[in-house]
Amino acid sequence: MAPVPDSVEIERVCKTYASGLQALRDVTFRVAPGEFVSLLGPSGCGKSTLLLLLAGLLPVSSGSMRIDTTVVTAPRPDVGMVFQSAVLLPWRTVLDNVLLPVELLRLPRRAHEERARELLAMAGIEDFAARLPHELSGGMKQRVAICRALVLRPRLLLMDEPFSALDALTRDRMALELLRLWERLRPTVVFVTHAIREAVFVSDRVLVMSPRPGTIGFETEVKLPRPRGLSIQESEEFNRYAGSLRRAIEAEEVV
Amino acid sequence: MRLSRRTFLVGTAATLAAVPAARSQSLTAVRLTLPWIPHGGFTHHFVAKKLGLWDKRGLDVKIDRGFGSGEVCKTLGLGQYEFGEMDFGVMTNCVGKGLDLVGLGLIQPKATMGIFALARKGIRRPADLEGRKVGFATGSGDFQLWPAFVKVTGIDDGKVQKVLMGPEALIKSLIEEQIDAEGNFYGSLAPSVWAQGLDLTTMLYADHGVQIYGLGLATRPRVVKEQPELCAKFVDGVMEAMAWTYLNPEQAIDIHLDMVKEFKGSVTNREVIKHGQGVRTAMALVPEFEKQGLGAFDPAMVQRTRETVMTYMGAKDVPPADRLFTNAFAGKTRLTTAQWAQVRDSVKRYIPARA
Amino acid sequence: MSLSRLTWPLGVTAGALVVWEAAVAALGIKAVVLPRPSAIAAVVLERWPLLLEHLWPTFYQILLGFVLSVVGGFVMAVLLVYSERIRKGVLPLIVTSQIVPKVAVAPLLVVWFGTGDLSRLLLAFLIAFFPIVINTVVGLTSVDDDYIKMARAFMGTRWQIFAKIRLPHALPLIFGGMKISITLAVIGIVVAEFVAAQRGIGYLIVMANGLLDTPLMMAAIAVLSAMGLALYGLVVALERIVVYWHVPAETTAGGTP
Repeated sequence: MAPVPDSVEIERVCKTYASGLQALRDVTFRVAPGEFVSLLGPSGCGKSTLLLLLAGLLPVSSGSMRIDTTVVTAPRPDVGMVFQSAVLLPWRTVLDNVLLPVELLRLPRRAHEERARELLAMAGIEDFAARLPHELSGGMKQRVAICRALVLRPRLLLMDEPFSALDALTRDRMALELLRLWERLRPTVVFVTHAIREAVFVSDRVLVMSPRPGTIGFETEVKLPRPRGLSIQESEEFNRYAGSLRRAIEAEEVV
Repeated sequence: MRLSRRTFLVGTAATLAAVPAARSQSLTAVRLTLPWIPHGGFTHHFVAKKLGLWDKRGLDVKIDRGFGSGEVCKTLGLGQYEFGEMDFGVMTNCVGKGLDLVGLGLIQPKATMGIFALARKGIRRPADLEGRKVGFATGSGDFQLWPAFVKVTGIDDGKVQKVLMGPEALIKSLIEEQIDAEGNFYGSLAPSVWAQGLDLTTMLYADHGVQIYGLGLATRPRVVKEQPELCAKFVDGVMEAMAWTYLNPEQAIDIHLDMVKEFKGSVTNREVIKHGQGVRTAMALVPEFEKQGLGAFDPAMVQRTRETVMTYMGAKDVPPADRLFTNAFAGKTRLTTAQWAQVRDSVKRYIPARA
Repeated sequence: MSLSRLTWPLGVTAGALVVWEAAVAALGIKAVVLPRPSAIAAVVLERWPLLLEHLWPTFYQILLGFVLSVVGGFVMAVLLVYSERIRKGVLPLIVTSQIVPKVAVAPLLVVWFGTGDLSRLLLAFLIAFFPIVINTVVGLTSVDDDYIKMARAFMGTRWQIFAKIRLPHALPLIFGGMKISITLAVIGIVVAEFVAAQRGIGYLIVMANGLLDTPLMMAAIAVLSAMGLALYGLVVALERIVVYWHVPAETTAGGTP
């Protein structure tokens, strides 16, 4: 069987800002197609910067970064992104917000409208298609943002702490919703978070980043069966993964 | 042309009948600017227009309000108007500052600039102004000539408190006694104040030795040179109208109110127009009008005007007096001695008493 | 606008008018100084053809001046935002133009352009365009970085970001500027009419003042105020239609309705 190329290849990537601050040093890892990988670490460890580099919004200082074997130089249509806050345009309806990527690429709206509505239905908010963002709760807005990121069927989904602005109960539910969507569409996912249990719950693999400058310090595969329900968080195996990740993070901080 | 009242009225009727005919031929468009709002002092222009005195001479005159004699000199000098009526002293000053203007005929030869006060203030003589508050409009001719008045009357300028304001505020400030007296133009101030049932004491600069001409018609010298017939027709129309208003004051008021609808409203307004017209007529009772015809200049007085302007109004390079006016167009309309007597009698209350 | 929202302001206005009427009568104030509201109303009813005749040129000049200010101000703002050269060269001139008192400039405009419509329109433009420029610039540049980042991540070009994000974001602020601008346009045209017009409500006010016809003067002012309110209301109504989404309080400069 011919080897399937990796979805994401990151080789010794460094990033230094103009101010002289080195955010990332020698970051190296790969992500297989359809894999759900988390980048876990405390604030300031450069994980968001790494995501911006992957999104093509910032240039690398050195090293190489490839998505589907092509070098990353600018944003691309087959990559979708979800941010910490939903960043919905307040003057557009939910549906129009989801269709924004379609508009920006000047693709025909009608062809994608059905897909957009499908996504909204999968996320459970199809009734809100004609509403304006201010009428939605924080969790619902983030669901719209996720639909927007998925409307062009991206091969890679980048998520920058998408649930950190939500309350704990909503967070759990959103993680569940995300997994459900992911199971049906199976994009590759790079998921940034600072919540250990969240990382374990959603991922196939968790990479721990250590700060200043950011680099991958520790890695673990999460071999929990799928599909996962919220109750899995009470299992012994789950807690062992969570524990080892916590110890890894604490070890990095001491160093 | 000596006018008898009967001939004139008959002539007027004939003219009115002829007006539609004249209008059907093409008329030359002419623009005239007044020095201020169209109050009673400018009735002659509206009479000229309404009675067709310009139409019959082939002119279609548009009458615009003005914003002070200084502004009139500028806009007239720039060619925005063919003719203007303004203060001759201010005109002389502007000529000295580089504007090209020449006087065509006088309307109110006796200068109406002066100091005015409500009668109850008891300010009858120049000396009474010492220790009082006197208001002036910034940049007005009367303010510029205040030093001349001071010099000739010998009052102590330092003892007079002067207050400056915009021209629109002058009348109200006087009535509401925010000031004791003010510098203004007789024809612009008095009619409004009298119509409110108040009485004024009047000290005209001209009555106290300041040698300067008052309001008159003017144009650019170029227009006189290139279009003398136009000037003749325009001035003839004005002078004929002026004579008519001297002899038919009540009808003149009616015509004025008919043509300036903004003033139609109340009895008080009619009084204001009536007084304004009366003042204008009273200021025309000068020897040069009686002897040489309506509008005529006395060259010696022009010379004295020039000297006053150069001394007090700041212009240094005023051309010689004979360049400031022309008698080529004025003086064609005359009244009989009997008519002058009648006119003088009808406006005697408007002739300011000297204390 | 519901009836209940109108009752309070209407009530206060009615009360003020009653006090005014009573005070003039009781204190024996002369009509030339301050006429009674009933006298002013009588003049409005009696002489409405004259008032309308002068209101119309003022009205269309205000509208024209306002439209010019909005269009001109908007274009200027875009140039200021996107061209550093223009910003460095022109912005100081714009600010200086605001410091010069317009009443001083008016006679100059008359000398240069005559007492036709042009001088008044220029004067109104000079006064009314500035809030549009300022508010548009702030509106275009105050977009949260997150929106730009998001749009770029989804392949938005610079022009698309301008048209689809900066512009809609700026609309609430632009309308705030427009509300200020319409009142300034009214003031600008009317003040210009005091010193440079042959007709219009400002012209009528000066004429009435010259003859001490205070009732007519105040009737003209009343009619002018009504028109000004109506124009302002028009902008507010337009804003409700155009800015149909919820705008957080910090974004609306230029005051609430």
